[in-house]
Amino acid sequence: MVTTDEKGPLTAKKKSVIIRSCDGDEFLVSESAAVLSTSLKKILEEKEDRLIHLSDIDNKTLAMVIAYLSTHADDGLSDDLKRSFDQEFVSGKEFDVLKYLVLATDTLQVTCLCYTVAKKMADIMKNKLVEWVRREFDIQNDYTPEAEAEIRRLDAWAWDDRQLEDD
Amino acid sequence: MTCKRKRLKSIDSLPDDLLFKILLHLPTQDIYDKARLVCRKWYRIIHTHHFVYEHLQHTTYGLLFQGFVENAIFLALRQGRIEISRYSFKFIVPVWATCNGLIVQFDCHNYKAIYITNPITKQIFVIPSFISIMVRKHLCGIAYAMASMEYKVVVTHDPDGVLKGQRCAILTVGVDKSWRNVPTEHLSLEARKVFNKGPLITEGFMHWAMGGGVLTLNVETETITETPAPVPQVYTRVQMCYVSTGKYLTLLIRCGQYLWQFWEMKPETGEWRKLPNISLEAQKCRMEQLGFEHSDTIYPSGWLKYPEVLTFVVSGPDRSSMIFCHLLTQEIDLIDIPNFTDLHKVVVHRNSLVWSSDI
Repeated sequence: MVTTDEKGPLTAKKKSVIIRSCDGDEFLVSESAAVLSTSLKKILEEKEDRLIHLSDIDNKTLAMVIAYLSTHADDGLSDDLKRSFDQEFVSGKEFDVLKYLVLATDTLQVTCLCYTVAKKMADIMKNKLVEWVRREFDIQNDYTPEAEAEIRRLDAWAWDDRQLEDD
Repeated sequence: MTCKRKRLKSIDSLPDDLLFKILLHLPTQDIYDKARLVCRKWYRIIHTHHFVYEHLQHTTYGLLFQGFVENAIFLALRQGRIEISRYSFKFIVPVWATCNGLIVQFDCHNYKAIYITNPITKQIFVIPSFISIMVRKHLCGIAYAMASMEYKVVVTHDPDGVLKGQRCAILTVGVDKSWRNVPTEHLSLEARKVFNKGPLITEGFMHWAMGGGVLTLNVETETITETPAPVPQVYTRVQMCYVSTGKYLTLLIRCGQYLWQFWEMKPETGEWRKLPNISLEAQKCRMEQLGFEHSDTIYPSGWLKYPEVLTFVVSGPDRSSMIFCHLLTQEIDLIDIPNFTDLHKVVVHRNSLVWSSDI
């Protein structure tokens, strides 16, 4: 991602913005980091105000997103280091934490992080049974037993359909 | 100031488009066998044309290996390791070429019948039969024309005997009731001989390749162009292996016991690009330790992951194996193939959710 202020005057790089979470905590962020989020970039382009209030992101989640943005805005870090930071960033995080993180990155339009988090969430679900997914993620099974059996049955019968068509 | 953060009780309270983004990363088999069954909402998200084709873009190519006809396994490289999964689908004939997870099969017991199947969804789509006694069952392939969003099945045959030259017939799946001829008059009889080989598939193209050159069919425009090999085949005994990566066509020319010249062709332009030679010299000792001999035949059979891991088949009098050569690290992995025969097929493939309703 390209930061817009690279070509601007040197002072532009030093600019910073204050981002406030829904619980009222404030974070001082360099503008070059903030603009890595497409939504924040748009807000900054539209208004002079250096204070952005995010009413739907809590401080814990926002702190994580800002740590990510700051790392990626750091020109002193190599791409390899940034990549390993991304891996570290999601590893070991609970599904519950990732849930809020994926929502926040989607709202803020931090595409790369949203992708990494979504992938991590899928990795947790990988190779798990249907019942495990429902239980762990608190999902109501809204299939009737008949409907669920029907989906499973259709698979088993796929091959036989062909033979019927043959006749 | 009030906090508007939503309390996310479960993953299900995430907006549909985010669930969509998460489910995209699940392996094909997991989506089909499990995710679909979790709840109706997940089922609705998955059963859309948009999801199926987005998911396909997230799916990497691997190799479909068919031992005895019925049983096939899928090999893929995930996080640096070879992952093997077995299909519960029973194949009826050897698989020669696949496209977007779909396979064309001629029914061995009923030569008139041609099916398109997806071994993950196990669905069967019957297409109009191709009536010609000169069709060899394996000489058919399927490719996807992206702009028109159509699948096309191609059969090569020699209706008037070999002397009058091979022909090529095409059928747009779900549209055509009968087969159409692809113009081949501009090709020499000699060039058309290559239709005797099974096709190689890349995205939007179908290739027939042999020794000195390649015929490429653009499935969108239905035109065939001829591309000579980047270096002429001087001796017929020089081993020239054409292998599809899924996106590109590659050519591996053997120029030493364990050395190959490596070329890549972009199907859109037909231009060859030379890449660094591939050498297994460093693995020679290791291979000898593993019991392989100089007289064993060895040939490149497919890319487990392009351009990182190339798969070779090595076969001697007593044993056959697949060797996976990690080109960057120069490490090798090995899988023994018991009772290796000509029926064993290694084909570039990716598992998909493309159902018959999308065809």
